[in-house]
Amino acid sequence: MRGYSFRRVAQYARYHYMSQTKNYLSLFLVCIAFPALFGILSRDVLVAEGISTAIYTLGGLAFALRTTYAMRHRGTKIMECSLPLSNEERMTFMLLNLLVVFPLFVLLTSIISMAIVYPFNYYSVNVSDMMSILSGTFLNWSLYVFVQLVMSVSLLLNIIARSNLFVVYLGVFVGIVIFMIVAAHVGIHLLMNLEPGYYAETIEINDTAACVVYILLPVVFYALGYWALCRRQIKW
Amino acid sequence: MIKTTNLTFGYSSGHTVLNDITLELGEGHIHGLLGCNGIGKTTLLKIICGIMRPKSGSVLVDGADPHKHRPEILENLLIIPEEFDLPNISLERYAKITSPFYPRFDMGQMRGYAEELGVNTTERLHSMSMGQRKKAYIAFALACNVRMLLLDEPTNGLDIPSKSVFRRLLASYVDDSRMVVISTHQVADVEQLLDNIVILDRKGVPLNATTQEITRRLKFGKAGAADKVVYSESTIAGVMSVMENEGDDDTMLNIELLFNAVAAERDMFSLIFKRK
Repeated sequence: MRGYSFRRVAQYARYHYMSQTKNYLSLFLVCIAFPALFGILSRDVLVAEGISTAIYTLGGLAFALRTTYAMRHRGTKIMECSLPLSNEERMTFMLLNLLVVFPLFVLLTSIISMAIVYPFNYYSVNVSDMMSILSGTFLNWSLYVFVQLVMSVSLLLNIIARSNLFVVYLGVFVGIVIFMIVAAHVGIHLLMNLEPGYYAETIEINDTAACVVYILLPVVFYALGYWALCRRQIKW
Repeated sequence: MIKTTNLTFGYSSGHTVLNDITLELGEGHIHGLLGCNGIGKTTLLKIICGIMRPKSGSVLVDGADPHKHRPEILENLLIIPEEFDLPNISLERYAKITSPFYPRFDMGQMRGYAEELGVNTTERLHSMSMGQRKKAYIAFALACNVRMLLLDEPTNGLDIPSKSVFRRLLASYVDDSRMVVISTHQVADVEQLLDNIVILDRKGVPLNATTQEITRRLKFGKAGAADKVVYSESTIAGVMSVMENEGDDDTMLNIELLFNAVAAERDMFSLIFKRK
């Protein structure tokens, strides 16, 4: 039995990008055009940066879809899914695409769109300001974890959703909203029933717990995604 | 070697398509997988490829479960589906990005096959017709030199000259270390090629025998008074029958007639093929 091969992961990455060059190129152009357009219209490079950040935050939905596209696409999935590639190798590629390639992809499109808007900029923002704004977004670990949370859920859905992905996305969105409302109510209820002297200590404990859960959630969803990948069937 | 044992598959809707399938498909043969519409031939091929899981029973490819997606098993296995889509790149480029997964792939062979099938390897695959695309993928698949080639309705969409080229290529492809499994309804297109016939039905596998064994036990044609007729049907050439071959007569195998006979007289066939 042959073991895990990073070479096969690289071969699959080559296969993936070359067979979907047009799709990735379209995504790349959209990620440049939208921020650039709004930046030029408002003559403000910060608007372009804001839209790039929004793309970074929610673009993971599209990127996870693109990562699993050939596996879900009606015409190509038999060939794609029967490639001699182990589940670990396939998952490695997916993780690399979502954890590393996507942030770099959005960073690059942000720089290009800001560079396009720069000559039209009405306000005085110099290049070092722009770089510090970008690093504030892309080196922000809490935002990165949120982006990974969005992408890990999206990847899991893309692997397990059998037919209408839009309905599944909608269902999950509604589920998250309900969860947040319930969590907020529970939090408020707990705080209201506290003795006054315990406020600071309890909030600190809750913050730490929330932080740990927040970081663990993407890990859990990626692990569930791998589990689903190992059990997947082609009949989606 | 592909081996299934008591394999059953059903969709989540409760619709069972494969029931108690036990068979062995060995190297050195071109196996014909026959069955009525919806019986599960394509599903069986997908299970063999490891992209679907049986509900119960097992499938082993070279002694391993294909659903575990072990690359050393899957690199010996390739499926040509009935309907498929390829990326919008040329066949040459497609081969360049896919061939690293198949260690015995030969680019020269692929160009040769493509030329014989009349496919331009530098043309974009999306600008080709469905038939051309199928020929392109056949050229690629044959050049992968895998040991187990699974074909699902391979002649659908091929023009008449391409069908004869395809038959010639496939006949020269198989040797003692390789096997081809063809699932088809177009029996006439591949009748001359098949040397093992597997018939599936709702209850399992009523027939899995080499053509040699079938013609040793049965004969096909117009029945005489002394013949033991197993099954008869009216055709435009008159009443044709499947008869027990008691005198070692040498007749041509009529797969269509055989299929209808097995469907109508399942138990009788089991008895005939159980005899020594």
